Formats: sequence, C-alpha cells, structure tokens
Amino acid sequence: MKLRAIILSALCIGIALSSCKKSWLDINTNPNTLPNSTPDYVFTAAANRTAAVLDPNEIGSYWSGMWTQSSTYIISTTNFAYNFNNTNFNYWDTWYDILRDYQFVIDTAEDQAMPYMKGPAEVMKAYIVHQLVDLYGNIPYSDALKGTGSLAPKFDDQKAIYEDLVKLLDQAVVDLKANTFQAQGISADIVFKGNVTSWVHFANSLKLRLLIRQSKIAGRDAYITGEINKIIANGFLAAGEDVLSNPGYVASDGKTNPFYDRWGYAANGTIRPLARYPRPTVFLFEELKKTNDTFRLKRLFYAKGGEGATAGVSSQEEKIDNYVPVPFGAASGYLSQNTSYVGPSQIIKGQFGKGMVLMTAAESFFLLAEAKQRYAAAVNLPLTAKEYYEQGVKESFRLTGTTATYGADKATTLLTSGKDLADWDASPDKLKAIWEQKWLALVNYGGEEAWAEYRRTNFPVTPASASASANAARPVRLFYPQGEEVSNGTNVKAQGTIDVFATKIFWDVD
Amino acid sequence: MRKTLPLLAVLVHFAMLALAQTRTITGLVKDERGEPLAFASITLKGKNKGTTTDASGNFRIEATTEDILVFSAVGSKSREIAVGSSSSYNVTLEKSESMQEVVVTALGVQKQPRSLGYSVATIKNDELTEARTTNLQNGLVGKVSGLNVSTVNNGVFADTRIVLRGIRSLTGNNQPLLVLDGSPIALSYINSINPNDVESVNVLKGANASALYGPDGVNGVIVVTTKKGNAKKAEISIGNTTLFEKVSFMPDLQTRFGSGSSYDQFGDGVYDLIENQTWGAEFNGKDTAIGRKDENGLFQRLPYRYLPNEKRDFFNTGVTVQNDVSISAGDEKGRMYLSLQDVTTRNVLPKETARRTGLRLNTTRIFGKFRLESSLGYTVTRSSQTNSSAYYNLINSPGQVPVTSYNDYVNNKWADHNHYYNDYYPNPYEDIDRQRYNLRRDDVIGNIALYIKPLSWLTITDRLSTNFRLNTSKSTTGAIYYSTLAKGAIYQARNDKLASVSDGSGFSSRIMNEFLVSADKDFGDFNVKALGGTSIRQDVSKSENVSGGNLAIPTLFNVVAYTGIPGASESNSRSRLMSVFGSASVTYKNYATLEFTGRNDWDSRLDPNNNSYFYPGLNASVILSDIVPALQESRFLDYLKLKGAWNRTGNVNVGVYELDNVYGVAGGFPYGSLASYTAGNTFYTRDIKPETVESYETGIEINLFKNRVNLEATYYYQNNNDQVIEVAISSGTGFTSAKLNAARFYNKGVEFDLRLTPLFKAGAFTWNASGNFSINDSKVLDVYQDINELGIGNTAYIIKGLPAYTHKLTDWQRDPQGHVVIDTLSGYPIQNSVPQIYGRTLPKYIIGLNTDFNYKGFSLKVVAEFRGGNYIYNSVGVDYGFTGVDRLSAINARQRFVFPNSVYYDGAKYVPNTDKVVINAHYDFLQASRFRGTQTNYYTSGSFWKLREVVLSYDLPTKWMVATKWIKRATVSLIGRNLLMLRPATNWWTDPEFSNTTSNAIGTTTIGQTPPTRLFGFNVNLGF
Repeated sequence: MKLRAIILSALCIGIALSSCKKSWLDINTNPNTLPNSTPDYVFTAAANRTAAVLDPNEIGSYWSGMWTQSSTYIISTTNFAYNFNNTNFNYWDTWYDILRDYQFVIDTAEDQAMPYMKGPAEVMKAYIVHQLVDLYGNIPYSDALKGTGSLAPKFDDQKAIYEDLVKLLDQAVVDLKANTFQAQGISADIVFKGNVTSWVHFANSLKLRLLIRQSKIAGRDAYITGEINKIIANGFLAAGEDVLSNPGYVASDGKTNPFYDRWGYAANGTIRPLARYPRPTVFLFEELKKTNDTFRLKRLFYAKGGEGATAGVSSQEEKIDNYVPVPFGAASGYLSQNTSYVGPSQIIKGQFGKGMVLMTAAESFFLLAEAKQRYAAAVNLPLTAKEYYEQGVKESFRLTGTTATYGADKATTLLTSGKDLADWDASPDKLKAIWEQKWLALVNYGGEEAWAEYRRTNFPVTPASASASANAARPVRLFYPQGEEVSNGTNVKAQGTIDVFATKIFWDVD
Repeated sequence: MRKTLPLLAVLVHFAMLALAQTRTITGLVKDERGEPLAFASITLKGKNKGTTTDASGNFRIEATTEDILVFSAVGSKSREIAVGSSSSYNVTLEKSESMQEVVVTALGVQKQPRSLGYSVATIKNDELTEARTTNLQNGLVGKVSGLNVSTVNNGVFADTRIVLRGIRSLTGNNQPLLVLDGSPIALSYINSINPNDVESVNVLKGANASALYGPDGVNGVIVVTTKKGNAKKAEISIGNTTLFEKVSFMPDLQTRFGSGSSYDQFGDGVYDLIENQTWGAEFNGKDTAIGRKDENGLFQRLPYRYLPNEKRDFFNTGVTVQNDVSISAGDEKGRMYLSLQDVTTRNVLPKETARRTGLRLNTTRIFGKFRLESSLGYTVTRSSQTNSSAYYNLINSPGQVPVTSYNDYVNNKWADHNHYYNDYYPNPYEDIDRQRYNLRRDDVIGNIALYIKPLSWLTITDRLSTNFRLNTSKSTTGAIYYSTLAKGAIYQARNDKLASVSDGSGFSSRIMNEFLVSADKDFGDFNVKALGGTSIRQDVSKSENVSGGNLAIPTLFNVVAYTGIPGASESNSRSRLMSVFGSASVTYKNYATLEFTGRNDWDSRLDPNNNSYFYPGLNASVILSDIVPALQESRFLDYLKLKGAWNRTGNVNVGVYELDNVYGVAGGFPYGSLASYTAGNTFYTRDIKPETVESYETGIEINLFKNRVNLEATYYYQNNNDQVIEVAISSGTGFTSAKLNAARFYNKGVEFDLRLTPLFKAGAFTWNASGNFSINDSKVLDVYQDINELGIGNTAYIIKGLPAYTHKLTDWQRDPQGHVVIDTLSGYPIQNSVPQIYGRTLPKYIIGLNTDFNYKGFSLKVVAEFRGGNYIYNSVGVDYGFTGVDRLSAINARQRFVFPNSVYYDGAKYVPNTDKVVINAHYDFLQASRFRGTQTNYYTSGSFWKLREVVLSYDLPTKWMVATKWIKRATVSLIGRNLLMLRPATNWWTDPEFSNTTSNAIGTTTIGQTPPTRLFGFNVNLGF
C-alpha cells in the first residue's frame, strides 16, 4: 500500500514536471547583450570602427616614403627590411568584420524602415572593399559575408570587384537620393549627420578614386571617361568638404580620436610611448624644402623634441633647422627626442576630439585634376586641370592648418613659386606635379591611399630603406593572412603563389 | 507525516497480531572492532520481513522460535543465527574477506567494491591530511592512478588543474565534478573545503563510474564525504600546523654582464647607468656610478660585480599557520560534527597574505524510520596580493643591483621613485605597495537530506542542496607625483601617475533537489539493486564591476572619487537542468554482477526543441576466485576480479547563451547619448548538441599472499565525437569563428595500482608500500572539414593525427638531418617562417609512489611523483632574454661564435658550418626577435620527479595520556612538502608543473609564475 502511494506520488510529480518542463527550461535568452540590432546602431559602430583602423595607414605611410621610425625603438625589420610573412599585416580580419556590419545595414535597412541607412552603408562598403583589393588583389566578394551560408567563400577577380564597386557606388547614389534621413539616421550618421548631398559627393569622389586608379591600364580610357561623365552632374567633394567621422570623441581613454590616442596622448594628457615612434623621412622634408613649402612642413611635424608647454607649439624654437627628419629605415642615430614628432595638423595636446579623416577634399581635387589632365575633353569636367590642381593644394593648406596659422597667401606663394612640382605652369610633367602634391596632401592623413598611388604612379621616387639593400625589391602587396590560408585553404591556393615583391595588383601595370 | 505515522504503526501492529506466536527479539550488532554497526539489515530467512539497526547498532524485530535471523551489512560478512530461547542477541559481524571497506559510488550509493564494473579509488582522511595541505586536491597528488593535479603557480591561492584519465573534450571542460556530501557543486569550491573535515574521498575515475551523473560526470567525480560525528562519546580534537615556505629554485641567470643596452665597435657591451637591461659591460668589481644624479649632483655608487643572492633574498620565508578545533559527539538518536578552522598564509612574495576561516556543522538525527542529515559549511577567504609585475621587475634587474637594499623606499633615497636607478621600471617594493588586489570570498555549501526506510529493502531519499558564493574585490593603484628633477630626467617619471580603483562583486548560486528511491532485495541466489531518481537544479550568477581612474583624491580608493568617465560592467547568467535517472543491477551469489544505468537530461543551455539527451551505460564484474575451483583452492591467490564497463554519455560544452548570434556594444561607445552595437564575430547555431563520449573500461584486480599484495590494472578507451569547437572560419564570411560540432579524437590509457601491505614486517616494525603508474594517450582523428589543426591557446594545438594537445612552435630552419641552417652572409641561423610541430603538452606517464614505515608510535610516510613524456614552452625565457638576464643571452660570453650544429646551403647541398661566425653575438642577435622569437630555444622536456610529502609522526604513548586524565591522544609530526625536484638539466627556467593557465592550453610558463617553493613544518594534534 505504501509502495503504491510512493509510485503514485512519483508519477504525479513526474507528470507535473513534464508539463512545466518546457517553459521551465526555456530561459536561455541572453540578458547581457542584444539578440538583434537595428541598422542605425550598427552603422554607427561600423563607421566609427572604419575610421579607427590605423594600421594600413601606418604601413602605407612607411612604404610610400613619408614616415619612418625613430631609433628609440629597435628597428622593425618587418617594416623596413620587408622581412614579413603571412602572419604580418593582417588587416583582412578587421576589414571583413566591419564589412559584415555594413552588409547587415544594407540587407536590413529597408525591412527595418530605415532605408536612408542603405546608401551610406553601400558607400562605406565600397570604401573598404577597394582597400582590400589594393592590399590583397583577388578577395572573397560575391560569396562573402554570408555567414555559414558559405563557410569557405570563393575569391573574385580583382578587376571585376572594382567594376562591381563602381556599380555599387552608382546604386548608393540612387539609394541616397531616394531616401531622406529621419532623426534616428541623422544621429547615427557620424560622418555627414544625414547630409545626403555630402554622401553623394563622397560616393562620386570615391568612384573617381577607383577609376583613376585604373588609368594606366591599357584600353581602359573609354570605360573610365564614360563612368566619370555619368556622375559629374551630382558633384564631388567640394572645398572644405572633407569626409570626417566623429562620434563625439571625449576625454576618456578609448574614447578619444584614435590617431591622437596612438601617436599622441592619453586622455589625461600623458604622452603615448608610440608618439616617439613615427618620424618624417629625410626625403619628405627635402621635397617640402625644395619648393620652400616649409610652412606646411611645420604643420605636418613638430620640431625635434615634439610639442612644448604651449599646445600646438614645438618645445624648440620653430626654425627650420630644428625640424629633424630621419633617413628612411635608419636603424640608429635618430633618437626620438632629437627628431621631429607628428605635428599640429593632427596632434595638439588636448585636442582629442577632432574627426578622423576618411577622405580629404584635397584628394578629390587632385583626382579631378588628373582626370582632366589625362582625358581633357573626353570628360565633361567644367574646370581646367590647373584649376583643380591648385584647389587641391589650397585644400591641403586649409586642412593642415597652414592657411589658418600662417595666412592664406602661403598656398598661393607655393603655386606661383616657379618651382617644378609645385607651380603648375613651371612643372613640365603635369601628372607628376599632381602626384607629388597629392602625396604631400596625404601625409598623416592617408598612408594606405598614398602607398596605393605610389605603386600605381611610381612617383615620387622615394629612396631605398637604410635597413634593406639598395636595390632590394619593395613590396607590391601583402600576403593572404595565415588565418585565411588555414580556414579557406583551397580558395587561397587557387590564387597561385603570391610573391609580395612581384605579384602586382591589377592596376599596378608598370 | 506526524499523523500518518502512528496510523501506520497501528496497521503494522495489527499485522503482527495475526501471527500469534511471535515475540520481540532485541539486540546489538557490532563490527569486529566492537563499534556498533548502523543500518545493518536483519531479515528473517525465507520470509519477506526484516529491519535495520539504528545508528547505535540496536535492533528490534518480531520473530518466532523457528525463524533464522540473517544479519548483513555492507562490507561485512553476513551471518545467520537461529532464534532460540533467548530474546536478546549481541552479534558481531566480520568484515568481508576481500575488500573490507565499502566505497561511495555515484549518488552517494555505498557499494562493495567487488560488485563494481568500473574504477573507484578511495582516499581516507589520514592519507589525505598527513602532509596538512591547505587544499584538498593537493592531498590527493600521487595517491590515485590516473589523477593529475597540477599546481600551476606559486602563491597564496595557487591555482590547480585537476584531470582524471586525460581529456575528453578538445576545447571544453576536462576537469572532474565535485560532489560534496551528495551535492554536485562547481569544482572551484574544492578550495573552500577544510581537508580535516573530510572523512573520505572517493574518486570515480571515469565516465563509467559516474554514469549516473550524466554529462556532469563525464570527466570523473571527486566524491567528498565529510565527517558525520561519532556515535559514542563526545570527542574534542585540537590541532596546530605551522609550515614554513622557502623558494626552492630560482632560474639560472647569466652572471657576467651588468646594465646596458648597446655594444661598442668591438661588439662588447657598454655600461649604461640607467638601464634596466643587462646587455652592458662585463663585471669588473670597480666602484661605479648608477642611476641619475640627485639634487646635490651626486650619484649612487656601487661595486660593479654580480650579487648572487639578491634575487632569492627578495623572497620571504612564507608561513602558514593552521589551527583546528573539532567536536564530534552523538548517541543512538543522532550525531553531530562541528569544526572550526583558521588558516593564515604569508607567501614568499612580500606582502602577499591570505586567510581562510571555515566552519562546518554536520548533524544526523534519527526518528524511527526517518533519518535527517544536514551538512553545512561556511568559509570566508580573504587575500591581499599585488597587481604589480614585481617579479618581472625583480628578476630583470641587472646583476650588480642590490635590489633588497631598496626595501625601504620611504627613507632610503636611492630607493624612492625620484631617485631609483632604473629609468624604465619601478622599484618592485614600491610597486608592490602601490598596486594592490584585495579579495573576500564567502562560500556557503549546505544540504539537508531526508532518508526514509519504509521497508527493509527500500530507501527513499530527498536531498535539497544549495551553495552560493559571494566575491568582492578591490584593485587599487596608488598615485605617484614625481619631483621636478625626476620629471626632467627619468624616462618613466615624465608624467605623474594617477590613482585608480576598480571594484567588483559577484554572486553565484546553485539550488538543487534530488529525489531517489532505491531498493535492495535478495531473491534466492540473486540480489537485485534498483535505483530511480530525478533531480532539478538552477544555477544563477551575476557580476558587476565599476572602476574609476584619475582619482581626484588619490588616497580615497573609492569609485566616487573618479574623474573622467567611470567604467561599469554587468554580466548575468542563469541555467537549469532537469534529469531522470536510474540503475538496476543483479548480483548472483555475490560473485557476478551486471548493472545497467540510464540518465536523461534536459538542459536549458541547448535549444528547447533539441535539449533532451539519453545516456545509457552497462557494467559487470565477476569474482573469478569465488567461481573457479582451482583459484578457490590456490594458496597464494586470495582474490581475482574481472570487470568491464561501457557507457555513452555527453559533454555539454555549450555555454549559457551560446545559441544565437549577438550584437555587442561597439568599442568606445557610448559617446554621450550616442549608442552603437556591432555584430559579434562568432557564429552560433541552434543545432549545437552535446559532445558524445563513449567510454570502455576493463580491468583486473588480484590479491595475493593473504591479501598482502594487491594489484589492479585497468584499461580505458574513450571515443569522443561531435566535439564542440570554435573553429576559425574565413573572415570573408563576416565571422571569424563558428561554434559547431566537429572534431573527434580518442583518449585511452592504462593504470596500474600495486599495494604491498605490508612489504616487510618484523615485530613492531612494518613497512608498507604502494605505487601507481598511469599511461595516457590521445589522438585527434579529425578537426573540421579541410581544417587539420586548431590552436586552443598558448602554443597548444589540436592537430589531426597527433595527440591532443601538441605544441606548435617557431624553430630555426633545419636541414634534413636537423642541423640549423645559417645565412652565409651574417652567420645568423635562419628562422623558419612556418611554425613547426613539436611534442605533447600533457604528461603521458605519471608514477606515484607511497611508502610508510611504522614502528610503535613512530611512522614515516613518503610520497613521490613522476610525470613525463610532455614538453613545456618556457616563454618566460623570452622575457629574461629581453633584458639579457637569461642564461641563453650570454652564449659564448657574447663574443662572436659559430652557431652550434649549423650548416649552410652552398646552392646545391648543405655544408657543415665550421667557420662562419655570427656577425653579432650581442643585442642584434641574442636580444633580437630573430633569436627570442624562435620558440624552440625555450622548449624543454616537462618531465620531473618530485618528493611530494615526507611526514614523520609520533603518537605519544597512551600511558602518558592516562596521567593527564583528560588528554586521550596526542600526535606530533614533522612535515615536508615538495622538498626535492628533479628535472632535465636543459630546463633552468622554472618548475615544469607551472603554467600560465589552468585551461586546456596548459604547458606554457611565463613571467607570471613566481619561483616554486618547498614547505616544511610541524603539526600537533590533541584529542580530548
């Protein structure tokens, strides 16, 4: 009897348990993070992260001959003897990680009733993908960003990707013009605060960058001019219209301008150890001095010893002799305190809140100058190449603060100096003048772009690294990262043997 | 209940009346030592009627004169007595012949070892606590085959990693379950248990033994049973243990060169006054200035010679004082055990202290057929440690620097931060004071169990248990304001250092209820044991951390003093588990047993549509020595048992909330009111399921020569499939990794246990010895699709076809014979850009040796252990090499040399290199990443022998006690632990047992591990 009672009660408990079992166990909803997100939140994250990616610009600044390192740090043979392998320079993972966020915005913007977020995400996607191509050549593209839908995405041809990006930018302009930003989008857009016109200008200037990049490829002219003519009406980045990303940097570590944080100061004003790392090259200073462009020089770099007690002013007297560059790749003899620091154009103690530069208006004008110079009447650009060129130089003087600090005439002085590569009329090779001035305009702002342009134009002719033999080959691309080789081996192998000194990107034809 | 009980009694009484001739028989059952036997069963032979003894061994049964009383108890021989005229019987039961004791198996079920088809090891309190380890797990070292307890660091809370029989999960948990008085709790609570409270530890070595625990028990179970109290007179015991701790081994460092970081045109080091590195000039004994000038323009001056003991002298003699009081009491109705323990530890590292205070109250109360047991432990652990890199700063000090003289940095000018010689790193003494980490942890572990025995063969148990832990911690960093002179000169003094504070608290708890019905009944020659039960449990945890930097008031270490933006974080987790389980076993004539087990789990961590898993098992044993006549008659063979087991279980290596992709707060956000979320990088799937583990085990147990020799051998093999791994996927997918079921591997091994009791005996002298030997091996059969390897942290990898885990390290380029290939221009060896595969990270062989010598009151016990077959990567050498204190950084006295055993490639073949010296044997080579980044330079065998415990104890003669009238017993002992370590000469860095982690990625040592120590001291124990 007792046994029966026990069995019965056990059964009752069992039944009661099984009926509530399902709901009792269904508690696995994460209370610590979001199970889903919205395009505005994700776009903000992606844009902010895009702007914070400093590494490709750093290596680009070295390999385009603008920067080298001080002897306070042991020479990096990776950077300056080109002693690197597939475990170095993995920008791939970061870029794809950010791309997934943009793809999320593109895929969900319409469904989540924020169609205005789609266009900006498309522009930013193109901004990243073309950089990946410029660094790695063929990459996963059409098969990419699909999660486990394609665990080992195939690689697409680099030229085809460029062509598709041009189309993507056209689509972005269509999407931008079709949708007005709503309040949520305006606060989420940390680049243009919902200014559709500026986004369209950015899309077009970026498209121009992609097209001009291909300008040395034989037989490409008709395609390039055709594409340029399509977008002229919508306009390009105008004077003063730099593409800056700024979430509202604040004085707290991890929340300041990332360039300032790495190469300048901590939030409390303590100098960062890495402020003692990058140094201007002797070549860069020589190029600037050749044309008496010393005012811009003083904005780009501080005198030896760096910033002094007065914010934005060197500790040493700001005479040109006190500005000490370092021969490219020099391993010793140039301690940080005896050489020039990254200057007030980017770093002034306390100014942690400046926007991060994604693209400058100056670059856009130099692209227009090159387009006009190359294709003349084949492109319907309204101004002359010279006009675009001179506006580019003025934009650089404005952005670096040269104009504000030393007066508006300084750019004009340079443009009328009669010096080759500065004064348009005095420059026998107009393209070289454009390239030289664009190179200078990218110092501290766009190392990655400068290295790509250096590979395309082979100009300016920068000296060999002091840490490599005089005629050592220079890298023309990066290795596919080791991680990709391990996780997507078949597709990486299908790209053939990669020789980082010889396997050129498709637009690098000479 | 209260009402039904008398009613039942009445009913039973009526039934009794029906059998008119019955009368009441009473009595007492004792074991052969005269101790009352509780819960011995008394049945009437051939009748379905019986009773059990109470806690004091008393019984009462109705029987007729024709009845035969059958007395039986676990671990004892059963005995039959015909009811005669007497109505009172005092019965003594002898211990069963072969294995005297019973073992606690899964779910607290006591069984005779002879009936088990799997391996269970039992460690009694005296074996466990002889060497007075503070932590229970350290008392197990060397005593159980297949058990690997690694103490991975030195310190007041030396972390340990416990593994039984190798690994079953490539990336998940491989540490066993802890069951304390029947309640499964997180293994980390093992540090809160007072070893002196422990009655016994039963180690269920594998998934077979712990089948009833399902996935929780897949890595084996450590079943800890605490003392329940004595049924006789009250006994009070007090004890004191005082142990001293000394650094036993310092790394081998170069002794020729002092401070500097450059070389001259001859390649000789140049002395540098302010350098922390030791790439300077050779010592010459001359009086030399060091550091920077003080306010008076004077230098600190030191003889430029090597100080051999400075670094060792930095460490204190550590002291651990352990005081214990316990009271044990009871009568026939109940028992209780109360203990209080206080352990204070002062570590060898200056100012590192800890204190653990624990209280335990265990009670048992019997009400007729009910027995109520409660077990409650409360432990408070407090510690104060430094967050600073004091050891780094110490060990990397140049050899001529008298570090210990900088102890008093308040009064000694050359020790304070404005004058300290070193431009780059702080005075370790000041840094220890400046950076502190204080922790308090409160642990409560308790359960209440109610046992009902409605019928002689039926027991019903309900156990409600809970444990919870409260952690509060505070990290503080003090401010340093430098003098103007220092600011203008000393590199690290350019900016004042501001104060900061970080304050964390965490709470975790488990509530669990377990309901069990078990039956044990004889049917003729068959004995059937059946058990069924269900359990539900919930785990909850929460942690919060707030931090503030740039404190406005540098002495107010409270988050309210923050300036800027404070940090804040929160994390919550909750999971639930529901289980139904059961087992049934049949034993024939007490020599052949077959048992089935089954368990079904419903786990909230898995998808609700896919969260039910069934885990079956089977095991059998047969005592051949009871069956085969030839063996029965053997004069030297006493016992021969064969056993075998199979089960399939799982391993839920899926964390809470690991089914869905998530969007986390993007770095740096929020900026004011601007929030942002970014997609996570790991791809999760709802299809994830538990790893499956299929375990086979077979073994033999032999007793020879009147049980003086006892040998056990066991072979196990585990197939581990559907491993949950986080595999790196192409970042082109938008994710960097995916968590999925993929890899598979096997894990197998053999274990031998040999006990010689006694090995030698002459008069009052006995010598016992036992040893165990385990071999463990594994092989990865598959990783994931085309992916053949996966890094799991440090240099440990899972590589198809190789054991888990295998080191993968950078090496020199080598010719086919293994010679190092050099570059003909520089003479430097060339680094192979592709990391190479080297040996296993986990020991393949473990040997434990235990021996004791006893003479009258004296006993000497020794435990030694060997582990080997594995390798370690001493990345600590990379740090020593950076500053140039490492022995390797003074190869050939830093003069140019031909790289040993090297060859060069002449364009067609490899030619032995006899004359091509390295162009620099100094900073450019030995300090450069070329050398220090070649990991094989710091790669050594991980083998060692350790003398784990040496204990000499003396039980004071009883006659002395009689004189005192109140002291019943007294024992004094001298204790030594880790007195000796033997290891290959190539390992001059640190203790190969050390590691920077207790995770699966064990096998790498870093600067984070302070030097190993040895302990010695004494213990006094008195009983009243």
